[in-house]
Amino acid sequence: MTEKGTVGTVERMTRAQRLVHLALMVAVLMLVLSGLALAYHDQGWARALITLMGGLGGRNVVHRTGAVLLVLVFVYHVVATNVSARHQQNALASVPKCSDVKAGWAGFLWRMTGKGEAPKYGHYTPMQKFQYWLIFLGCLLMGLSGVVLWSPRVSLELFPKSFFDLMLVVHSSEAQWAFIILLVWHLWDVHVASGNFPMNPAWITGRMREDLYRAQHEGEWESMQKGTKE
Amino acid sequence: MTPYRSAISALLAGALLLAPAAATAAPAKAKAPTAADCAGCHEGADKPVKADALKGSVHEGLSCVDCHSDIKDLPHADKPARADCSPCHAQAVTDWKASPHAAKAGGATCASCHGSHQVKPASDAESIRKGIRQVEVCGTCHAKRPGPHGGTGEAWIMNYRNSVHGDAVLNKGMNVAPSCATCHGAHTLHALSTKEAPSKVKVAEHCGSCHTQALSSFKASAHYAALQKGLAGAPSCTDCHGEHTIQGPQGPGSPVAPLAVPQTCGKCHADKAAMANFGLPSDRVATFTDSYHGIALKEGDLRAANCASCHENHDVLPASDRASSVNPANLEKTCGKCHPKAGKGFSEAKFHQAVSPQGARGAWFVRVFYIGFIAVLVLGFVLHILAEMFARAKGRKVVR
Repeated sequence: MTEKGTVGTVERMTRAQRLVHLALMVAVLMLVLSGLALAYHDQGWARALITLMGGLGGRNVVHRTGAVLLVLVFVYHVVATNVSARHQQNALASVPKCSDVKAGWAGFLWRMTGKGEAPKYGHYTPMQKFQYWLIFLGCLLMGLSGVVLWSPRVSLELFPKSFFDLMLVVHSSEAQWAFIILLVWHLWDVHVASGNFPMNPAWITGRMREDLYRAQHEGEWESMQKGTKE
Repeated sequence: MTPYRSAISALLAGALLLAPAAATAAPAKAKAPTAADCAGCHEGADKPVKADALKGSVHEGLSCVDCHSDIKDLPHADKPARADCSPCHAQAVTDWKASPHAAKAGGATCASCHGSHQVKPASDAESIRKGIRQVEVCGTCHAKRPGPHGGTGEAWIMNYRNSVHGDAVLNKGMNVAPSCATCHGAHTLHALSTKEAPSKVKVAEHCGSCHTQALSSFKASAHYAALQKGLAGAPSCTDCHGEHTIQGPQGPGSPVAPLAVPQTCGKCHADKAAMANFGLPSDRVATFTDSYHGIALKEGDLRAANCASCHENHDVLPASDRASSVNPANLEKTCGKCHPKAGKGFSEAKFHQAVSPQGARGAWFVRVFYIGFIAVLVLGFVLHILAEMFARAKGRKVVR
């Protein structure tokens, strides 16, 4: 493990994962800022954002650049999870199971009552899985509705305008809960919750403190210990 | 021939005829004072009026007593009665007597506007028939007084000076452009009211006497048809273009500038009560403002469609009318002005659809679903945090 007095670290994210996470973060920030600016165009802060992006034309460029980047990240992610062995392992760990619902509920009960045993989470906690799949589906829906909205002229040749209008509502509604999950829930989890304050540094250094890793992913930690011992 | 011209020529003719007539016919009676008689007293720098006061005016050649007909004997009373213009200008005086100017003591008289002895011919720069002069002369009284419909005359005159009409008259010397009397009338004031439907039709016809093309296309509009039916809530020219403040579409603060059009149409079309009178929806402006067209326009993108881009301006018609630019049969062409490949998708589309059970129902359902979904997520998030805080307070290891 480590020298005396210091806490060791465990690798959480590979360099490639961190790069993709950064690209995803940049893409989402571009999309959210330029998207909310349009959705809330009658608010002062939204107008200020639009001005900052160089007007509506500039906003469109920012939004579409972010969209292309997000699609690239998404495609890379889907391909990589099917090609690389390590990614496949992660992908398997992210598959939601009935036990996740039980573990999540048990964790909640344990926090509220202190009864029973604290659940031991694997590589991904139930909450992380839940967020991941909501965002995964969200990306699909945002991408599909976004393509329809990209060029009204082409879309209106292919679909009735009512479908275009529907996609507009889907796109903005979907964006708003994605915003809540990502920028509020996710940031709470990695910055505040579970002893991570001021932040979980894995997205920069790729590593987590051993004690926190153990506490947050005890199930995986135990099997890791076995793996190294045996 | 305008009333002015005929009056002036009648006057000139009268002056030629009357002057010798007065000189020859008078002695038979009590001997009316002649110009020479008047000159006996009205000579010298200290006199308020000199005998040759009419020299250089349109009335040059008339005798003093032609107008000051109350003076029969000399010397006359200190102050003779006000000169009577009616023997020659009967119609003008009759019209004036019926106007608000005559209704109040201290209101404008003939001399207030035309001058007294020095009434100038129409061609003269000092003539009241020059627009520049009207702004000055009407302004001498009206700039200081509150107007009959609120506000002060000063604002009217200031606004007019800055208007496209005022600019033409005052800065470009275009006397054909309208000044005060063109719209308000000269002797008959308030000929044009903007309150009742019949007079609103007259307003349109009045503006149309110069703006002929605008009038003929306005006459094809639903707005004009409503005015014809006596519906005073329908707009005439001034409701959209303004009155004293009138500007071209590029003018500063113009209500018909592309950026201002939604607000101008919205004065009526976003007014629930006003639209209820006509059985029209009042959400047309709101649905526009929320659309990409509306947002782009507000951001100053003048390529974006405003109300008039699709509905036309003067000849606006309801979509149900075959001649309307927004009739489904014409949508391909109308949308095609900006979207050259606009096809069936445009002509079959519904526009100004509010996301509501009555409007775009599918979109409304999706929105309601998401609102519920977001509420559940936020609730879950709050519980998630509260559970962690609660566990911390209880001293449980919460990192698990």
